[in-house]
Amino acid sequence: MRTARDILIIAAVMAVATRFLGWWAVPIVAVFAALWDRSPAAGATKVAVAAALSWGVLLVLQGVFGSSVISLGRDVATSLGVPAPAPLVLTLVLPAILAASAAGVVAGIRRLRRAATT
Amino acid sequence: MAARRNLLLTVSAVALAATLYAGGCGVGPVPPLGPLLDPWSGVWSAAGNAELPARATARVPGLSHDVEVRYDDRGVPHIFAQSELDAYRALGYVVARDRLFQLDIQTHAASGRLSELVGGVARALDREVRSLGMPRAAIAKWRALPADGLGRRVLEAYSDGVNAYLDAIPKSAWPIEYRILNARPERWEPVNSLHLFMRMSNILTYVPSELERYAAQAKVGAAAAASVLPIHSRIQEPIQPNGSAAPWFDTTAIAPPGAPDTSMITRTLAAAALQFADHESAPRFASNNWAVAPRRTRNGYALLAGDPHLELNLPSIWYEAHIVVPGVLDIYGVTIPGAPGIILGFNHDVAWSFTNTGADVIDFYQETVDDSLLPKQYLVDGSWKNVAREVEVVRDERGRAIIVDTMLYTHRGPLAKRGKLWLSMRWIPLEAPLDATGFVQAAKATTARAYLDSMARYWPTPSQNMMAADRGGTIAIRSTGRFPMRPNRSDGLTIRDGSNSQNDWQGDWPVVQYPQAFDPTQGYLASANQEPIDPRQGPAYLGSDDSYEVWRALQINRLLRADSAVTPDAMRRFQTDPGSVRADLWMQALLDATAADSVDPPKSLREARSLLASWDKRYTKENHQAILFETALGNITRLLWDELEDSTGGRVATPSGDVTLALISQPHNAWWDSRATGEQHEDRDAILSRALQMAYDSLVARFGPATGDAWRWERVRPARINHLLQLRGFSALGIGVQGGFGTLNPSAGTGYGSSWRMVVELGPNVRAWGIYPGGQSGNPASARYRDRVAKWSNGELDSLRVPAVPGALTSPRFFLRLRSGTN
Repeated sequence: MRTARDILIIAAVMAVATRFLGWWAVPIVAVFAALWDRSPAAGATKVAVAAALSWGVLLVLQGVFGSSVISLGRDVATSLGVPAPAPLVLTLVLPAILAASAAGVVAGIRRLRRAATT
Repeated sequence: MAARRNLLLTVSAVALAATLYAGGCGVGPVPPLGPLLDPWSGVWSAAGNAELPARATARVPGLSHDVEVRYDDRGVPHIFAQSELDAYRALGYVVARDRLFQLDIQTHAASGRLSELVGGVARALDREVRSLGMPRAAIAKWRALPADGLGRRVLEAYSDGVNAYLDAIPKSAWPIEYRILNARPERWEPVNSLHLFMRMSNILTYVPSELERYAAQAKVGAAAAASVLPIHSRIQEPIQPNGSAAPWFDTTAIAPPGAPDTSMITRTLAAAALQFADHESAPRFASNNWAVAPRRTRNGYALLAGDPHLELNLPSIWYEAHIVVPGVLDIYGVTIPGAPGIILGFNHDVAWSFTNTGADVIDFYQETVDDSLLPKQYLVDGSWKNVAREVEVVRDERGRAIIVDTMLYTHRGPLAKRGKLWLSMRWIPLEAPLDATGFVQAAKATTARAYLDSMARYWPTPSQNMMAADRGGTIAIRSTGRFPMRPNRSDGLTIRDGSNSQNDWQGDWPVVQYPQAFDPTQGYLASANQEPIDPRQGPAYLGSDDSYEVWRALQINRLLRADSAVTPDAMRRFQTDPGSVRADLWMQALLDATAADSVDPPKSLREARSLLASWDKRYTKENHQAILFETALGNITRLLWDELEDSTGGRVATPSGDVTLALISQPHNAWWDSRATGEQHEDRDAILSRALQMAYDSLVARFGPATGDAWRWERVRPARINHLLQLRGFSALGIGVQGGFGTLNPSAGTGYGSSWRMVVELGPNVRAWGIYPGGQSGNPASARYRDRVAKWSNGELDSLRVPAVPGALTSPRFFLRLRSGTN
């Protein structure tokens, strides 16, 4: 339950940050989330899921208040010469990698520091 | 354990760095993924911004009163303003709202800066635009406009509107193309409208046909070149009626190919021609318009139809709008994004549409220069004049200089070296004053004559055959624009000696001499880029673009002659009529010649003849024979004009179809002989048989046997409507159409065609119908992006709504109120 709650909170913060700051807000929020999180082993996965979820929600909002993101994604894919699902999949994967790797760096540094102090 | 920790950290750090790099900088041709895929402001924002808000209010600096804009169910904005300038501010705003990227890319292309937007792929185009002196001329024209003149104020008002929209929108509302290009919109400058006018002039009037003639002359000698590239069309049914009820044909013999002209000047200019145009792939812009007098219409009112044939794009070159300024202006029609006014359309009294004249408004001069490597002066009447020079820098999307050219100018225009010669170019668009006054003033006309007179006064270029009709029943046409008067009534097909000012143009044609007709006795008028005046009646040299074929003009005239009670719906049907005079004239000749060629023809030739004989000569969507006919005629062109091929296999010039047809009655003319067969001599019948058999065999190889739908016209020759950036996903491809080359609807197999079909009935209450292929929105995610394509392909028209006051527009789709001030 706590993990689900954490994911929702991080996703909400990421969605708002993306809305107002842009895509690069994702790794920054991920860094803070990783610093805040006490269980670094699961941290990277959690922020990755949260990041994908946050962008997924924003995508849904675009579709709900505008036109279909599915057909737009297909047209964009055709225009860029990539497989039809690629834009949608990449839009979920990109923030996940950004968030996971940022959290991974924080966790790695934290481990190194712990190792150095023990 | 420590190693594992280090590895995890390293992997994470590398992954983060790589993703940040790909997200922020992009990799190779892939744009930065972060801003591209950002779900709020990246490509996906196009979905969120697909439709206009139901109600909106915005501020536009300089408005004297509020402006009410209501969009109808077709997405057409109806602008209700209290002053003309307010109306043009509002027009700038609504056009930017729907077509911001188009405004931007057109300006970049027209000002030789396309590379700044799309990168180095556009460098050749930028270089060409600058080498013609177009951006320089547009800027000079802008500076020359009087500060308080209407022309300048309209351009500024329009610019205010565009920029008000730009200032009002967040980044997430930028068009999707900016995400893909990783670019940002540029502020609009009033001079951009002049860049656009220059671009249209370039598209419609830049025809250096004298160079093409020299190229042909270098191949087959002067007499043969002049014979196959005649000044006048060999089939005449001119725009200005000549009193004849049928076309007439020039039956004089065509001079056979002679020895190449190896003189230095011809060889040099022939080489220059090859730099100017690839005739195989050159786009063929054209247009139709016609009008019918009340006595030949069923309802007793004048009718006018028009359909300019331009490149078909998504979004369309046209944007539909209605502008009302009570007591001053009430005009409906289409504008080109960037042009402050309605270009083709109608008001309560008059309707108008244009076709291109193809007049020769360009000449070249051989200059005597002081230094053949880098001239600083040139000679005129024994005195040296200074060569003006300007450095042109083309930059790419990152601002890096990719081309640095030093451009030279004489008083005539750009000076460039061609082989060993220095040629300067004089071209009407470079020197004619240019602003929006023409269509702004003409929009208020209440008669066809007043409309044409206003345009004759204010419209220098591109020269157009302007058709107008009014509620008083007048129908009229006038070829309008500046036409140069050349010394000694000479033509414009030779290179002139620039050292003698007597060779310069002697002024312009007076309006009274323009090709024109008002209320002709025949009761109708038609133009389709054919020669405006019968050369027997008006021998003065106007020049023509020989890529325009006469067939559409013959077909319109045939249809109009046959119908003495024309209805608006008949006008609509004519616009996509599948009939073809060209097919009618060629088919029997083709069948007869191929029958005569051999007593025992090969099987495939027999099958080809049989298939062709079953054709009704109509380019309907479902017919199976038109593809065979077209492929055969293409082969005939290749086989017949092989003497004009250069070493690469391309042709330096391609005689028009009326010349090819004329050779049918000269079966043993040496042009029929194929160079490729050496000593063997071919005549007409041998070439036609070979062309037909080759066509059949190639089609079987490509599409399979002519059974089922394999050769169905709409399947094998669909039209295509490309996105402005040629992005397939945002284009409409494979559009089946009725019609073909030489018919009134020539889009089949091309990306060109009827860009705005309009029919207007000028009764007590003007009624109008129209359509263009595309939609009002430039946003590919919008339902208004390509909502008209299906109707357009079926030849249907929408009924156009013309409310006099805001409340008269029933069930408006969107509301917009524009107020004075800044956001």
